[in-house]
Amino acid sequence: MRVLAIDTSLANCAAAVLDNGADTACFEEVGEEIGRGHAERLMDMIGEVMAEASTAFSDLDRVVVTVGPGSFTGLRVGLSVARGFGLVLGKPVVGITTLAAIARAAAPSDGGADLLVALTGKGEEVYCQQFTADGEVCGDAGVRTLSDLANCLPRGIRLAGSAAESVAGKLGAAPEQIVSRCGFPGIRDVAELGLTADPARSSPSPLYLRPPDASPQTRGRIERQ
Amino acid sequence: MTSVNPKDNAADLTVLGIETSCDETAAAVVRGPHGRQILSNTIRSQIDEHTEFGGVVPEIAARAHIDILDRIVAEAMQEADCGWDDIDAVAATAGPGLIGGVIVGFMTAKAIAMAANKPIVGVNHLEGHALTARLTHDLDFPFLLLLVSGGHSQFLLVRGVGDYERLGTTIDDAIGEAFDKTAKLLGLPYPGGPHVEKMAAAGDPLRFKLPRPLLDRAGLDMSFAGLKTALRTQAKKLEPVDDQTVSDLCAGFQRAVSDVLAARTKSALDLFKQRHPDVEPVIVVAGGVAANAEIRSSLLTAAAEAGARFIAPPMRLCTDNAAMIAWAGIERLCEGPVDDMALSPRPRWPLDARQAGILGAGRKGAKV
Repeated sequence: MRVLAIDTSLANCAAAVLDNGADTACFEEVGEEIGRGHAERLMDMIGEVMAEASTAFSDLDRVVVTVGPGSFTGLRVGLSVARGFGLVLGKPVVGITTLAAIARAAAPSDGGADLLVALTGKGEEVYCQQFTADGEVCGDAGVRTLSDLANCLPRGIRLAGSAAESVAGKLGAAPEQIVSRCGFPGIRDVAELGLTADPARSSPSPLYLRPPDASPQTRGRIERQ
Repeated sequence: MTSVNPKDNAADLTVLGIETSCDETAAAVVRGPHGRQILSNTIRSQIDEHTEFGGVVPEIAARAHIDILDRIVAEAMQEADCGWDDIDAVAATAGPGLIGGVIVGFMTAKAIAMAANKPIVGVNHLEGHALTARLTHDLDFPFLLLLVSGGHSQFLLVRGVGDYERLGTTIDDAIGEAFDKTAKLLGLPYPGGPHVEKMAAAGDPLRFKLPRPLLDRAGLDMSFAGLKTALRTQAKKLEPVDDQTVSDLCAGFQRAVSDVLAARTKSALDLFKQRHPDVEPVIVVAGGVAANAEIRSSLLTAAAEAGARFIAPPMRLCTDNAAMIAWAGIERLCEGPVDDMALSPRPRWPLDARQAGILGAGRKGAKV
């Protein structure tokens, strides 16, 4: 199977082509940690990686994209493009969470304590999810406060992600419990997860984890009889 | 990327249009320029999502666009009975507008264009409104455009494709925005326009004296924020207000807006006649505010008094839609090959680039 993978959810902007066929195997990637401005860079990167991998759009079997958690605008850039490709190609588009992709790279696979992937959110909040030492999901993704996590995380838990340091600090965890501080997934992990993901259970829908900041405003309204 | 140059070949073009700059998710397929034909025009409004907030919430709008845009595009293609091989280009709004939505629409369009190997045209939303009348009517350049919507209130001299001069604009709220804010103030539902109009029908427009902002000054600029404040001040004195008072306030507000627009329209047509003495004066009205019956009738009267032809495209093409974006794409492609793959989505993008911004000269540039 040959997939095009896209990640614009966090600070990275990346695209890759991965093929796991016995005779057709290949992997090409293009990416840069740009912080913001994914909409300006993504199409060029896709064009470049498709050319590097000598791949035409009709060669693709599916499109893989990160769905968040991450920057709301950033993840919509990748999702718009991936779903646009899916529409024309008539091929599945699968969504991978940034947390799962980070866990895939960070999982120690030593049969030891679980792994919490935690990304920095607003203020005290982190976007996080717990995985086994093998990187298997063992809890729902959610928004938690650092204090809340400190109260309920098991002592020996391993930590990964941009918020690993702050969670460790709050928890009083030993430095060796931090297995990775990387704040975004590697595009190869996104692509690998996409190869095996079940399209029926990996919808390319945003994973915001937070409702929009909006509240009904009635201030200044004239009182009616 | 393939390119299209219809001057080499007089055949009509078929263009997919996408519009997501505010609270309508829309896709359409249009053919032209010779046999002008709207093959499909699919629109899904987000009114329900925004109602409880009394206005469009940008993040809610962006979320709604990404959730359904691919389905809306598929519906538009299906209704037009088109496959990807049947279209010649993809056109999408690249600004100005709520950037979250613009990004969803324009990036989706870029992806479709790249995968289907078609040229992409990044259309200025205002240009879509400006050129719609050439899709629906036989209309040559130049003509005068009055665009009155929730986001814009401006007079544009349309001299040709890509050749626009902004003659005047609101210096604060757009008219539709002023209607929405007035409705919110008086506890009327969103969107405010139709509700204010309905209440105004039972009201006395002369009971409250409301200002006609900027009419004492020359030029074609307008202002509506002060009008809303004046209405609030008068209403505050009578709190709690009864239904008749709400009706009278709505009627007074609507009359004030109509008077300002009629006066400015007459001046705009005078200016048009000075600039183009040999051309039959034409005023085209676009935008959702044109749905208001009192405003429409005062504009008709103003046009008639100035001896000008009055054109208002059907309401479905007057409010935000993707057929106008597809049509603007066709008009652009007729001027020569277009490749906007490197163009970035823009929250602010004045149609008349030579003009200094009136509002918001900040990091994002001029708002209008």
